[in-house]
Amino acid sequence: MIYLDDVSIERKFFTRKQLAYRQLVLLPTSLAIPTHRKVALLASDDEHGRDLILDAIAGKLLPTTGRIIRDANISYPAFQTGAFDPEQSVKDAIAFVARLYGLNPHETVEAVSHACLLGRALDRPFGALPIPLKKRIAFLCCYSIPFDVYLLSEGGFGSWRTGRDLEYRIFKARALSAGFIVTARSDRFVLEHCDSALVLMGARLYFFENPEEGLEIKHKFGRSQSGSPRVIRRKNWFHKFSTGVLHR
Amino acid sequence: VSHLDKVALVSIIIKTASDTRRYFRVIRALLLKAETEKRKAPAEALLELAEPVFLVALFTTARHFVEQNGVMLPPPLGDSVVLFYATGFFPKYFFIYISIKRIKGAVSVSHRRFPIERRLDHVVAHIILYSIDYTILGCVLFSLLAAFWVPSAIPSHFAPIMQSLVCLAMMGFGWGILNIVLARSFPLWFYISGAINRTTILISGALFVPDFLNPPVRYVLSFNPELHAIALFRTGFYPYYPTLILDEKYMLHCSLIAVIFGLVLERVTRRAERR
Repeated sequence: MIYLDDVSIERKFFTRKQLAYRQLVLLPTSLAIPTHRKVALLASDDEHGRDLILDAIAGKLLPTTGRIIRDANISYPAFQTGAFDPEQSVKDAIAFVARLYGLNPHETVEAVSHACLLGRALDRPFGALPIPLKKRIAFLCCYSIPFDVYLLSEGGFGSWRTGRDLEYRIFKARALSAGFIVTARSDRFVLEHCDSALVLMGARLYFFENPEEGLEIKHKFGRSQSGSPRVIRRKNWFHKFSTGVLHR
Repeated sequence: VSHLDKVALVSIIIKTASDTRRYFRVIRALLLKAETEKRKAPAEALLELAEPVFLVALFTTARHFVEQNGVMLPPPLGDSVVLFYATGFFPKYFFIYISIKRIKGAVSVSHRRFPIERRLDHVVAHIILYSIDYTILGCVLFSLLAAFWVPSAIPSHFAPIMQSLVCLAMMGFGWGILNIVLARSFPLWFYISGAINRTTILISGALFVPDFLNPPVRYVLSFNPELHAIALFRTGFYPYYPTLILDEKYMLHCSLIAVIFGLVLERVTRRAERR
C-alpha cells in the first residue's frame, strides 16, 4: 500500500504579469493506494499535476505538506530520462542504475543493449542519443528491476494500439505479476488495462474500484471530452506559460 | 512481551537492515560513478593542488625578494619557509574543497536524480571521495617536498594529522550544507563563499604561528576552530610546535556542532528543494 498522509502538492508556473505563480495541484489528501492493482491516474483536461503526483509517489518530489509512506518497492517514473547523466556513456548510465537498485550491472547492460539494439551506441554519451531511444533505455532499465509497482505514463508508448510496440509488450507481460500506476489520456487504454482508477478532480484525488466509474466521473466534471485530444494553437511563445497545458 | 510486539520488533529490525543495505548500495554506486569519471581525466585531480601550491610559491618568492633587500626575515618556524606554508595551506584547502568543490554540482539539481538517491547521499559520497583524493595528493606533495626540497617534510606523528583532517572534513560538511542551502535561494552565493574562504586564510594561522602573536589578538583568533585544526596538523610535522592555544576539545566540539547543524539544516530545507 502507498499511504498519502495529508499530502498536498504545489506547482510553480510563470505568467506574463507575475513572475512566479503558485498553485496547489493537490489539496491536502489522505488516501491509501493499493500496490497490487492496476491503477489509472486520470484527470480532465483542465486539471494540472498528474505527473507531479506521480513524481511525489515515486519519491522524486517531496510534497508541500504531509508525507507519503511507501510500503512497497516503487519504481521511478519509467519514461523519464532526466535522472540519467547526459555526460556519462550509455553503458555507464545503465550500469549505474543497476548498481543503485542492486542488480548485476553487466547483465543489465547486456540485456538492455540487446533489447534496444544499441551496438556501438553503448559508448556514446547518453545525452547524444535521440529522445525516443533515451526513453526506451529509461523504460527498459526500469523494467529490468523487479519492482512491486511501476509508475509510467501512457504517452510514452508508441502506437500501443497495434500491439507491436516493444515497451507496450513488456508492460503487458509484467502487468501479470506486478501492479502499476499509469497516467492515461485515452479511455480505451484505461478500459483495456486497468482495474481501478484514481481521479484528480478539483485538486482532490478520489479512488474508484472500477475504471468505468472513474472515467464517467472524469467526463462528467471535465471541461472537454477526453479521447479527442485538443490542439490549442498559441499566438506568441509566452502564451505557453499563461494558461493550461499544451495538449498533443 | 506479547507475540505482536515480537513481530513488530523483528519487522523493524528487518526494515532497518534492508534500509542500511540500500544506503550502502547507493553510496557505492555513486562512488563508482565518480571513479569512472575520474578515470577519464586522471590528471584533473592535480589541478586541485594548483591553488595551494601557487600560494606557497607566491609567499616564498615574496619573502625571498624582501630578504634580497637586506631585511632579515627568519622563517616563522623551523628551517624551511616552504614546509611551513605547505602545512598551512594544505589543510585549509582540504576544508575549502570539501565544502564547495563538487558539492555544488552534485546537489543543486533535484530532478536530475533517481528517487533512491538523496541529497545527503551525494554529499557523503563527495566527502568520502574527496578525502581519499586529497590524502593521496598530500602524500604525493609532501613526499616530493621531502625528496627535492626539505628533508623534514616527512611527518613524525600521523595521529594528529588524521585527527585534524577528520575534524576539517566534519566542519566542511556543515559549511558545505549551509552553502548549498543558501545557494538555492541566492544563486550568487558560491562567489561570496569563495571570497569568504580565501579571506579566512588570513585568520586561520596558515601564514603565522598563532602562539607568537600578542595575547589580545591571540585570544580573538582562538575562537576560529580552523586555526586549531591547522595547528594540530602542524604538530605532526613539527614535534616542538608551540601548543599554547591549541585546544583539541574545542575543535572537536565545533566540528560535532557543525555536523549536527548540517544534518538539521539539510532535513529542515528538504521540502524547499523543489524542481
